Amino acid sequence: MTDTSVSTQTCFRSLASLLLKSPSTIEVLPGDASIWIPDVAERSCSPFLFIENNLGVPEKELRRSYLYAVPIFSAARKASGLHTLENSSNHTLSSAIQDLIDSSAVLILMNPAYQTALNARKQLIARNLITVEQELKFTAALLSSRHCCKQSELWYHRRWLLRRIYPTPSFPQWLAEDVIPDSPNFYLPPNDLTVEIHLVTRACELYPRNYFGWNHRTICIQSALVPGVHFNTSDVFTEIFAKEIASVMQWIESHVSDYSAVHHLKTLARLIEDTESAFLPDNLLPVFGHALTLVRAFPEHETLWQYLRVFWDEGDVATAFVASFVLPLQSTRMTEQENDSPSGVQHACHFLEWRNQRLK
Amino acid sequence: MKIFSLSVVLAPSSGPCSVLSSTSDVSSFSFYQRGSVSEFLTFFTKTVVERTPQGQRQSVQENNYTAHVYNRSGAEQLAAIIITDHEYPVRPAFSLLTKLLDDFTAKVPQSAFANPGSISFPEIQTYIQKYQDPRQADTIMRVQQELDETKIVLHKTIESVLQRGEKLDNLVERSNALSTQSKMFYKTAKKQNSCCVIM
Amino acid sequence: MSTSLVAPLHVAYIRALGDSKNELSYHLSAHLRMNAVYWGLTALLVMGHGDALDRDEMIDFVMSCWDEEAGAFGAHPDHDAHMLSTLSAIQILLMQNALHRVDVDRVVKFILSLQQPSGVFAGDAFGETDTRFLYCAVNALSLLGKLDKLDVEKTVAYIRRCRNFDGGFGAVAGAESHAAQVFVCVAALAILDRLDEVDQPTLCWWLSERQLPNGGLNGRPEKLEDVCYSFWVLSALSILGKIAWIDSGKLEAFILSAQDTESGGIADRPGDMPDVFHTIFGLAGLSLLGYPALVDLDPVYCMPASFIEKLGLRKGWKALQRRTS
Repeated sequence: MTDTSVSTQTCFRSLASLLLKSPSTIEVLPGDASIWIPDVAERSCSPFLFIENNLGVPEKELRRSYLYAVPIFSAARKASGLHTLENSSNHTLSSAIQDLIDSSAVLILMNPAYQTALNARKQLIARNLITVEQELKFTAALLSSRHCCKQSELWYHRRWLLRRIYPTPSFPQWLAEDVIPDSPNFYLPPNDLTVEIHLVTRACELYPRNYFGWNHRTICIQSALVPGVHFNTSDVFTEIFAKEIASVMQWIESHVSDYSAVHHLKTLARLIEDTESAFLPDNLLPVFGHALTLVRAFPEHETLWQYLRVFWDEGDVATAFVASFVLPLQSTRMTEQENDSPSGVQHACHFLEWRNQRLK
Repeated sequence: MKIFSLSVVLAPSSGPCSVLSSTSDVSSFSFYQRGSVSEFLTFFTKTVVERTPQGQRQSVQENNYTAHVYNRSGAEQLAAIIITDHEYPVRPAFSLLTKLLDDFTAKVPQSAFANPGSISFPEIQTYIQKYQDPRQADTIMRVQQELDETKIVLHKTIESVLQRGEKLDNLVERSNALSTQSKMFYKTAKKQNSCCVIM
Repeated sequence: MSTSLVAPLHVAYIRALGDSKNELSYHLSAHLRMNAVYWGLTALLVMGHGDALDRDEMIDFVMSCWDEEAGAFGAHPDHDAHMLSTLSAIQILLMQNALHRVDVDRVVKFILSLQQPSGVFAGDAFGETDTRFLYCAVNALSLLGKLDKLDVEKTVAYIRRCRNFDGGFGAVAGAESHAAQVFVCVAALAILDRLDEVDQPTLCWWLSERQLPNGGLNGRPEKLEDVCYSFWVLSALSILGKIAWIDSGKLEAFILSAQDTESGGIADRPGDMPDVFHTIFGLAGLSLLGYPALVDLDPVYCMPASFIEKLGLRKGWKALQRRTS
């Protein structure tokens, strides 16, 4: 049964205009508009919810908007001649351009991996038909949605925007369009770093063990530390590192199966080694002890055993830990019942084999 | 690792149970989901407590939630239930339930049970905040010594605690406590885990 | 749930994908159409039914995705050219013995234009980089016989930068190890005859730890098992000659249990909806495990081994011996 109280065209235009309003979050809701907006008159104006700047999109309305947007996008792309990166001037905000802006937004919301729609928006930005600031808000809103926040294409789209605002000195603005990027190729001022980290944090709550979310975070940290840009003092370095290390350690405590966070911490440690600063490694001293404590508390989590391996430091503390915790755990009788997930005992066994290999 | 809700429930040996004190934290859910999640937590709480025999501890998983229940019965006929994500460890959860029940019976007279609206037990807020980090339960780990883990049954789905002939889908459909929106969320929540490419 | 392969159902399932009844799912997957055709055709060939789809129609579709301006293939007519769809197009044409339809010079130019100073490849002119695209470039150049045009040192240097503590590889330098990225990096190194860059004991150890008690494999620690990792993990182990490091019987049972025994196709895990992506990678895994009556699959190129042998490109990978029953 399709809700006929609102035409597909109204539905599509209404969604596109709401997406332009920079909602703080976007949520796809199950069912059609009649479930969410029982009043017929109200939903015939717009079948979407917009409360306290949060956009709610009933799935069925999104689906029909998407199908409606496909041919519009295709036609608008041809009409506006934007299908190449080549610069052709004299583009006015014709209806084709508006169609392109609207349809690409709807296509990307439903299908964030729709590369050609993302490309079209990059071309619109390159011609100043969409502002970078507007697009940053749009991507931030998309990344609040569970099905969007794990997409590499969207995170990359955001970095493409950041690069336009903050190209590194070796890539001046006029070059940035042509030089194809390779991270880190932009620098990120501390305030913007905070914004990106906030986005990643939200995305990693929405979609746990979010590979491309964490990757974005790593790249942003690297970009905040691009040498020779706007600061090069060890104070700023230390501040960024110390804060990041502390917050990731705290994250691991409450997300004990998020190995991506552990990997990020390892990457930070590598960056510190690369900077060859004498006092920075102090920030990493507590990490090994942290890993030991967490394995003791939650031995059934593979992530924490990997955490232990990544920061393993053979010595008295390590030996004592093996003797007092790992060996007794390994010899505990395995539970009789079949288990779907590996137990602490199995992790302990794997760990000991790994350590023996290393000691050889 | 999260606690979503914590409740003390009056669970007579027969008949419906009633929630005496309860708190929840749905801040990690997205804006439009929060109301439905709250409703579902209450529904899950009652459904599971009513199907936990007196004197038993059990854990029940449903979708992204795990409910740990301790139906202590005794003279007070009380049960406690905590709903967490799958990461939250089992032993601290049960330690916490025991401590919560002790605290509740010490502070709230049995005579108040008939009128849940009159019960004041603000301590439950402290529990849900403090024990978000289960290592806080270390202080009450003594309780865990008495806890024979093999006696705690883990049910991988709620279906396995339902009575013969009962189906969760039907219970959800019939429930007056769940709104139309919540029922919609329930229906679509089932398929959320697909990994990569959807064709 | 089945304990044996229901190949006829899978053939029927893939054939039916062409007559798209559902407009929405057709348009939702258009950006992957070229890849999907490659997955479907490879799956059919692995089951010995390469002729189940119309050859001319398939070649026409591939050619209709040619992006004249970019000089490469898009995933669907009207979609921008991309490295992923370009490799799939080349693979399809090769398996249909129609490689002569490709404008090799232009495609090679497109691919080489996407290599970055660091050695990694972008997916298209808009610049997202990923070791997946690097593999696509190396694979495509190799199939086209143009590997001599590639700066091998620079390419290998980037892969080396992606190697992690656990021996695995990530999507970009600094990114977490991921079994699918391990496959693309190991396979690219195999094509370039540079497997010496792999820390083999450490990596194989990590790969074997991807197997869960139910037999399935995951792609990173504490993720769910998934049929597609039957290929990503297994192919890497096969290239490194270490399939014995996992329990092949349990993995085979897991893949078979994810079959849809009513309407065909293989899902990510038992009980879920099948799709062509998991169907090919499930079958590819079964082929490497020596499942009876399947065609040998080359784990480096993810194509039937016979095509690769004909081109003289076979590397020293090892699969389990094909069983007779």
